[in-house]
Amino acid sequence: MYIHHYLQWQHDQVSRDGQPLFAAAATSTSEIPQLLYREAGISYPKFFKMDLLSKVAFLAAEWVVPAVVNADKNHIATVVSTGSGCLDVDKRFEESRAGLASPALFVYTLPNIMLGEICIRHGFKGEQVCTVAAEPDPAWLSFCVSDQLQHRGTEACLCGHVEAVEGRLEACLLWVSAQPSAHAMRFNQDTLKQLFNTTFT
Amino acid sequence: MPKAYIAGSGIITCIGNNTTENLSALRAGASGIGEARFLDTRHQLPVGEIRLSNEQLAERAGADPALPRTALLSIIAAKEAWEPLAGRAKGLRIAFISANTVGGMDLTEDFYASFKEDPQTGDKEKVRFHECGSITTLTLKALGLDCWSTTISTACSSSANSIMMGARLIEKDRYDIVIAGGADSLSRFTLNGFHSLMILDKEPCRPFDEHRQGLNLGEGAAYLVLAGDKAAAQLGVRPAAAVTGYANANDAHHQTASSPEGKGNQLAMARAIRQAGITPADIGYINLHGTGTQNNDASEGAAVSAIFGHSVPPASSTKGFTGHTLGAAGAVEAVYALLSIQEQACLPHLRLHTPMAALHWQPVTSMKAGLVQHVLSNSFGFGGNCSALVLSAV
Repeated sequence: MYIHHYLQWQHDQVSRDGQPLFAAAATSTSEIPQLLYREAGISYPKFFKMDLLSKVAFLAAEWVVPAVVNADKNHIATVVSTGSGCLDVDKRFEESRAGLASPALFVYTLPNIMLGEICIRHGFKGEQVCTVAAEPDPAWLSFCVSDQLQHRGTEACLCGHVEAVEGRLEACLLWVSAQPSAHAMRFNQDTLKQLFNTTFT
Repeated sequence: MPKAYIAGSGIITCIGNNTTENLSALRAGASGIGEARFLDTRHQLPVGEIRLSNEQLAERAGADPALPRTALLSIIAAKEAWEPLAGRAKGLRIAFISANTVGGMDLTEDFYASFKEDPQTGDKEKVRFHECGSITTLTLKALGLDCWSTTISTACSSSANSIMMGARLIEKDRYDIVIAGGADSLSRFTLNGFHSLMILDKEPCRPFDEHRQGLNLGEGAAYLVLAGDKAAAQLGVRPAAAVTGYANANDAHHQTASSPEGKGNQLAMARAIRQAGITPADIGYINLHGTGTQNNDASEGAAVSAIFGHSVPPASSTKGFTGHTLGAAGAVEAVYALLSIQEQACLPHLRLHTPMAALHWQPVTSMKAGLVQHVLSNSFGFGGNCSALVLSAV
């Protein structure tokens, strides 16, 4: 199994496959995804409705999923974990309850909604797993993704870990499949550990 | 490949504090939906609330009453499932997978109210358990286990996915035993949220009725103890059933609504049935997701019709009894699927007055004896997550 692309996001710096991709000179955490969205020239109006976690996961996926996907979308899996989940929007929804509770915010108070946004955008209908874990868990992730690619008919998998709360934006997403390609890295626990260690503080 | 046998189970819902009580209520057709007594809300909405205060739950759980209600429910169900087996598990590799959506929100919202008034007040101890993962940690500690664990959070399909992951870990021989399930308690946060989406029925819910008006929220917890054959033998249990099929798929349509044809539902059901090595005709009973919302029941109904054609097996939703227990629902209904196999009967569906005009089949309204070799259990959630489990008699 091979990692064809990996995306690392630390605060206002984004790199792909180890090369700088975007940077934003923002003053607040919540501005960063917007600035990067504009810089990347993406046009997807629904983006502005998303909560912070979904925005970061959505953008990271935009940049790590290949432009041409050579796999059956019914068999593309998404496996993502998060420690802080959707704390940011939890707080905003709770505040909205003082007046009229906002359905638009409530929708985002589940961490797996970030997977929903990615699947809607890319049409991925394969398996999806969302776990809540303080730290990325390379052993679990490698088991989960390997089993899907080797035994469950999954053709490609978007996987990783995302943190998005005030003062902390960090994400590492990987595009993995069983097929080798030029410059692809082996998908295993050691590579995962290395990528996560160089992404998450 | 080792099979994921079901070596034990535990459950608490508004229709019973353990497996026996739940079965009696299902047999009697006794719904647990009613007015909220313990949830402090100004809304007059019926809920599936467990008729015990946090202090009473804590006493049953042997736990601190200051814990989140979700943790108390989780501990009660997990102990029922695990304690009879715990003494015989020496040397076995154990894992714990839990699921919830609400975490310690009930305590957070108490804290937040006073904090908003004056940031100098509010007991910060109360927000310690806000994140979903804390419920898993608290339950694990209460079981006296120190093993690998994780927390799945995929909305209303969460605990179906924890059972799916558990079965997978057994089949791949990663662990000998996986305790898998989930919990969720009522909170003002979720009640107001679902209310703002305008999908709560002001009366007891009527899933799969032409005039259904929405869902009722419920609360509960349930766990299965999954074990490979050697572990089951060491535990001294002769399992009645195993988890033989499981799948999840994304509907990739809308965050809070299913596609009209239930594309994701169809993919999940078809894959789970195929994985169990059977055909749709072998399914003896379907425990529907059946929330009672216009959208869910229409799209799930269409998906069931697409998979089963003109021979839809007996099907029912048990949410008329329990309400929608969100992150616990998949595990609650997996325990009901197990009961259906043990009792060789289909579980009844409540409050069906006018069958849906668009469907050529309708749910079974009484507890019906019949051969139940394989049960299909559906769980769908926000974010497009569609899961299906197949439990089979062994």
